[in-house]
Amino acid sequence: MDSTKTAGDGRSPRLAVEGLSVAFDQGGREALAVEDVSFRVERGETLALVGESGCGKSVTCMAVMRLLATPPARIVSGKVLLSGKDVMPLGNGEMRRIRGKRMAMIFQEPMTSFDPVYTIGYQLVEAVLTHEAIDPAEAALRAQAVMRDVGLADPAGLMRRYPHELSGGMKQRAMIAMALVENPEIILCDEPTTALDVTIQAQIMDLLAKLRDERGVSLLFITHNLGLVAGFAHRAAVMYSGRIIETADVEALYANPLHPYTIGLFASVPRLDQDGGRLPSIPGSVPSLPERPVGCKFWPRCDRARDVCREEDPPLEDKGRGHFCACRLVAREGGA
Amino acid sequence: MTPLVECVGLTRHFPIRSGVFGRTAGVVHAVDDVSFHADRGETYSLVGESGCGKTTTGRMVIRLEKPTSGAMRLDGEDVSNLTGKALSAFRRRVQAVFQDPFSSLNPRMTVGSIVEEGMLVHGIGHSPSERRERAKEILALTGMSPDSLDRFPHEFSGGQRQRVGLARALSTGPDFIVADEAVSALDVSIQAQIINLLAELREKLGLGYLFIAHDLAVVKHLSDRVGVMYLGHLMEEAPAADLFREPLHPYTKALLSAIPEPDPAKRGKKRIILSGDVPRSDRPPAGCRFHTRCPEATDRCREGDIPESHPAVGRRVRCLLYE
Ligand SMILES: Nc1ncnc2c1ncn2[C@@H]1O[C@H](COP(=O)(O)OP(=O)(O)O)[C@@H](O)[C@H]1O
Ligand SMILES: Nc1ncnc2c1ncn2[C@@H]1O[C@H](COP(=O)(O)OP(=O)(O)O)[C@@H](O)[C@H]1O
Ligand code: SF4
Ligand SMILES: [Mg+2]
Ligand SMILES: [Mg+2]
Repeated sequence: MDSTKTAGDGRSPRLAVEGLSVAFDQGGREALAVEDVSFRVERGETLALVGESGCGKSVTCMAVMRLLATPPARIVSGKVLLSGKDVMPLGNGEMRRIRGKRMAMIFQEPMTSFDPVYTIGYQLVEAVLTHEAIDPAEAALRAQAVMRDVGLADPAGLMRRYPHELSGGMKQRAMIAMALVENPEIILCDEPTTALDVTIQAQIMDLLAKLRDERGVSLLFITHNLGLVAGFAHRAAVMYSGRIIETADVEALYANPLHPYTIGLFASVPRLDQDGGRLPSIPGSVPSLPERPVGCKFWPRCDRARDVCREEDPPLEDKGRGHFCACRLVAREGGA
Repeated sequence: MTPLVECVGLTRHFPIRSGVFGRTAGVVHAVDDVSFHADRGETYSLVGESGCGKTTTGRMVIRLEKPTSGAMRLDGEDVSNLTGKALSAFRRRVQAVFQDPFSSLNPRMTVGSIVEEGMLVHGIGHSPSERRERAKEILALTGMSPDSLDRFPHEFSGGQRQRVGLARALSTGPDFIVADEAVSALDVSIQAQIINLLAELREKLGLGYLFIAHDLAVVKHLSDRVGVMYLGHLMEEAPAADLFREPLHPYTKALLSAIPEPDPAKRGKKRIILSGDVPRSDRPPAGCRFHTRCPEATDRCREGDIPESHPAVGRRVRCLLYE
């Protein structure tokens, strides 16, 4: 069977990434921007990928979508399983048939998805016709229906508008419409609300939650906003310097963060339900790609670091009940 | 008592010119009739979504922008007509730090000369060695080591560059600092360091701040009093604790309710989701500027001037519900 059309066996996760490593050329020397990253997203599930800037969230996402420019990037290793089938070995042509059809992406900047010289309508219709041999008039109706689904008033009128004629919030909705038009199994969202004002962000998050619940679409939701993760995701994976250092159900992660970085990160967020006073902060700053240390990437900033931390990068292990953490000093639940 | 900084009816309109003859095709109401004051050792914050006029207000406070009408006073004296020595004295006392420390620091100057520049301009310190010594002290105050003096901005991380920006502002010995989105671009773990530093400097040096930000949790953490702006108008002002405990203006309520809080237990919380977008500031709605999105709006809100009410001590609100 044609691999681009398989719907999957229904039991495998919608998306599973296994051992993904991505390197960048740093003046003749390669440095791993993303290192041995693995995660899975089930049907209807939202997995948040969280972490501060430069930790590798976007590179992970672009590698999964196979949108990374190679070079300068090089995918060193890894599998990307879409409903159980590895798409990593597929060629660019086959990937083009999967992208937008079975997996779609939304970005922080909507103009990443749109071409400024074509109308919104033309681009939505093209997105349908790329994947389906149907009548353009039918494609146009489909485009208008999906625009209505994302809360855009007057879809027929909007079809003739150019992207720049829309407000920021409307552009974001139009981009979501573009991602949804082929009803994909999974949507990768890279900081989709970071550039928006908070009242518009609330509108967009409300929309994403509604679409997710109605359509059962899986989401990989990339953000640095711990508030959005708490309110929206089912599970979260925390990244630091190219690695996933902790992953758990959102409730467990917030109630009981295990990794010293996660603990420090959560503590340093100013909160509405707390009064002023000194904020706990993590000393130092995130190392740049060529400056990432040997051993645990966090050791130079960690107040618990020991010799073993400086020597070996700790593996991501289950510390109990599916709460994974990459720190040797964190004991497994129930001893040892 | 005369406040350190006082803005009275500050207004800034930008004419929109179009065509070859530069005819005025409209007016952007960036800031309209905004009044507030801030004292020594106090943090007054301005919040509101992008385009509501925070930066323009800040620029009028530091006299980078001339008000269309209204006044900005330092120790009771209107600063709009200052020239020569008096203007220079004003600049020395009122400084600014901005969002992007990189673009606001000259890449070809060492950190030391960036910090010494202000001193040189204002004739502070008698000799280069005295200025260098002082620069070292100020950098230490902002948490930078002495060896940073001879290095360049690009050699530092975003958080460290913001420390350098602060050191530059402090170099003239100011009483008041306008911090426009000074922590907004920083990652949380670094943002916490800079927030702590701002609070520390305020205690140590008795500084007053005009703190401009859109992250309300940060604002709550750092502020004594808060003003909420929408489309050029100051909609509400209150002591920080009161504002966050009991917001009065429908816009403030919506703004607070929209903040995603880092607590999964609050997931079910009912949110106020405003419909639509902020109207264009060259065509602000008549009546209450918020009426097009306000869940409480009535016919009376759509016309005429909305007066300011004083529902409690230290609180001001521009909404007919509190008439
Ligand atoms: N085109 C590129 N060339 C070199 N390094 C890159 C490139 N793109 C990303 N990187 C590096 O890869 C790391 C991860 O970047 P990214 O995934 O964009 O981080 P995030 O999205 O988490 O902020 C960073 O250290 C970044 O500098
Ligand atoms: N120099 C200018 N010329 C024309 N319009 C301006 C100028 N500066 C700001 N504006 C407009 O004034 C309004 C307020 O802008 P600003 O003060 O930057 O808001 P904020 O800082 O709250 O985002 C916006 O509509 C903006 O586009
Ligand atoms: S004056 Fe009217 S429209 Fe404006 S905030 Fe109050 S109730 Fe809403
Ligand atoms: Mg990114
Ligand atoms: Mg601004």
